[in-house]
This record gives sequence, structure tokens and C-alpha cells, in this order.
Amino acid sequence: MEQALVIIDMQMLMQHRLDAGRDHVHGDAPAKIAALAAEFRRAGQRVIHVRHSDPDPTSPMHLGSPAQQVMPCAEALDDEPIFVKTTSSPFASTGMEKYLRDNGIGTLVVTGAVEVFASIPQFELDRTSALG
Amino acid sequence: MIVVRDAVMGFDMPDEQLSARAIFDVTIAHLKSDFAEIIDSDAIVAAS
Repeated sequence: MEQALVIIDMQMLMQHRLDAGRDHVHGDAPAKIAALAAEFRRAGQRVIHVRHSDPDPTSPMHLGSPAQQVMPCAEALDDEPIFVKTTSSPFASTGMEKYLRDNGIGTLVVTGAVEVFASIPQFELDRTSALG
Repeated sequence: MIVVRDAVMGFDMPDEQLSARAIFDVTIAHLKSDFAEIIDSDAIVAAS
């Protein structure tokens, strides 16, 4: 089984929060994520992108809004999959589960942004039930 | 699942008076106890 790097929710909303001086941990995560992505690509391993979009047109995370744009550290290469979720978990609203199964990916190396028990924990809970 | 601790960023919840550190630490502890291996990015670079 292969492993893949997963970059979750690294969108400009996070940069806006940093710029506004919001209390945070690991403000240097963007640089670390960029370095990890480069390392995975160098090793010929997959990099998977998960981004959030809110269907509510008044939401700051509405598709195409400034806050919904990807941070430079998380830009995808042309051949890398991008899964745009509308729920906290990509398994609930994207085709990522099928992609993982089709490509024999059994280990996910997770990076990105987390808000309480949102994306990352839900990511694993869903993965456990979905992939077995 | 492997979570790269220092490549995960988190923020506070001011309305709930919860600091970014408190939220992050509880989240990582939850993952570590039940689901995930927690590592730092240096471990990946060193292993490659």
C-alpha cells in the first residue's frame, strides 16, 4: 500500500487570520507543508489536496471568494488531485475515498489546518469506517 | 493515519474563550490516543 501526503484547508482564510494576529499554533506550518510536498514529489509519492468551499454565497468560504483561494504553500501541480469539500470531512462530500481505493493508498500523512474536532479527526473517523 | 504535528496549524475560538494551544493539544491528544501516529516533519525528511 502506498502513502500519500494530504494537505487540508490551507486556504487564504488561514493567512488572513495570521495577518490579523489571531492566536494560533504553528504559524510556520505553511513553510513546513511546502517542504513536505517537495519531499513527497521528489520521492515520487502522491500529494493530495483537500480544500473547503461553503455553498452559502454569503460565506467567506464561498467558492471563488478571496478567503477560499489556496495559500501559496498548498498550490497543486497539474497532475495532483484536488478534492473540494462542502462538509468538514472530504469523505462525506468528495470522491476522495474512491481515489484512495483506486490508487492503493493505505497511509495518509496529514497536514493542514485544524479547528477543534473538525477536519482532521473527522477525516480519520470517516476513513476508518470507509476503508476498513 | 500519520499526523505531522508541526505541519498542522490551528487557531483560537475567542467566542468560547479557548486558546489555539488548548484546542490543538486536545485535538492531537485525541488523535494520538485513538487513531493516529503523531510525528514532526523532521522525522519525514530524515527518513527520506
